[in-house]
Amino acid sequence: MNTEYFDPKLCKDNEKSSFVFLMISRLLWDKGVGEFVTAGKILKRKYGDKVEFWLLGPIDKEDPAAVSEEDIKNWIEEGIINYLGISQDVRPYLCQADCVVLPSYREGIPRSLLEAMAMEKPIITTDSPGCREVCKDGYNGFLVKPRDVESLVKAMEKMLTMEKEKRIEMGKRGRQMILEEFSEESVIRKYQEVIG
Amino acid sequence: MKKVVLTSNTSWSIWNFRKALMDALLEKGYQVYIIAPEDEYPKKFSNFIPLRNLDRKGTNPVKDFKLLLEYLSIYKNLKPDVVLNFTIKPNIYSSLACRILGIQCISTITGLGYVFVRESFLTKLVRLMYKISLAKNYKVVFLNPDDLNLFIESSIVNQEKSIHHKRGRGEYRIFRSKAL
Repeated sequence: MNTEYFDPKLCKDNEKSSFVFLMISRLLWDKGVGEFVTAGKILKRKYGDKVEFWLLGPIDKEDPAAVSEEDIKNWIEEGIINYLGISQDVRPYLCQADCVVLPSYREGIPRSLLEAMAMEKPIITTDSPGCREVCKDGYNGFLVKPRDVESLVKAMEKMLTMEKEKRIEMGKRGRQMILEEFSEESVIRKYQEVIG
Repeated sequence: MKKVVLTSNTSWSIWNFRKALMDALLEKGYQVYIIAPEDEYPKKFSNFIPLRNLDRKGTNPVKDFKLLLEYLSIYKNLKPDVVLNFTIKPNIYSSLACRILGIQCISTITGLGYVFVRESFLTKLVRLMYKISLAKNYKVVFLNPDDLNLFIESSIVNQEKSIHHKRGRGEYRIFRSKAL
């Protein structure tokens, strides 16, 4: 991870009145987009305008698990989702987010969560391959059951109602994890050793 | 000067995920070639070779055979010293091309994707393909321990010939694959 590029110092003071959950991902069912939206629907009913659900990422038509444009249109019309489209630079969106979510069924190492952590954002992700590598439950975010809306809603609600200071502390721990365990240099060095 | 190839299923993924590695290799004086299907990103690479037959989610064996031939023809001309594969199709077909031509090749299992999310006939086939293609890989790199364990349990790679890199969680673990 490039921790100079993804640096929370770039963010200006966040003075929104609502709480923003952000999911950044290719829009595939296997990434847990469906669970994110359903959880959003449930929490919207309870918290109304106090909570927002932002979705950022491309529609990947080639993938058999792709979400359709129609689905996204419906979610926007229902007032659940704020779809941000695609972006070459996700940092301004990360600045605005209070928590970054990826309820994926399986990952290598989820890059969007590493970026969120580097920006000192607390995360919510699943206890599944790849995802569980980046989140210590209760430390830098929450781990939920994969494919389980109820578990996701619970964690999101916990995050939402948590004291602000505690949440910020979680985000800070995430960046510390990145600096200690996911540095780009060590990965590159390893490849170079192998190449010779 | 060593010629190193980075090949992946989209040039987008190389730009987003491997650019730091590419820059580091260039800085070290390697000649770096990017081989991937053409999208808007190739303009950003200086040494780009387009792939015409990489259908990233397709299961058409004819198309995939063409991809193997394409890799063979590119590597025959280019004569790379080392090839780094990322994502499933390059991991399989570029590895096979390297195996045939005797080129040193390293695959990175970037995640097991939808094929391993649902167990199906395709999962079995992919496992077999991985086993054949990774057999002569110089190293196989895993991004998480679950994928690594799955590959060891399915005897796709061998732990005995492995090199561990003990550091924090999330560290890349590099393993020598098993020869068939």
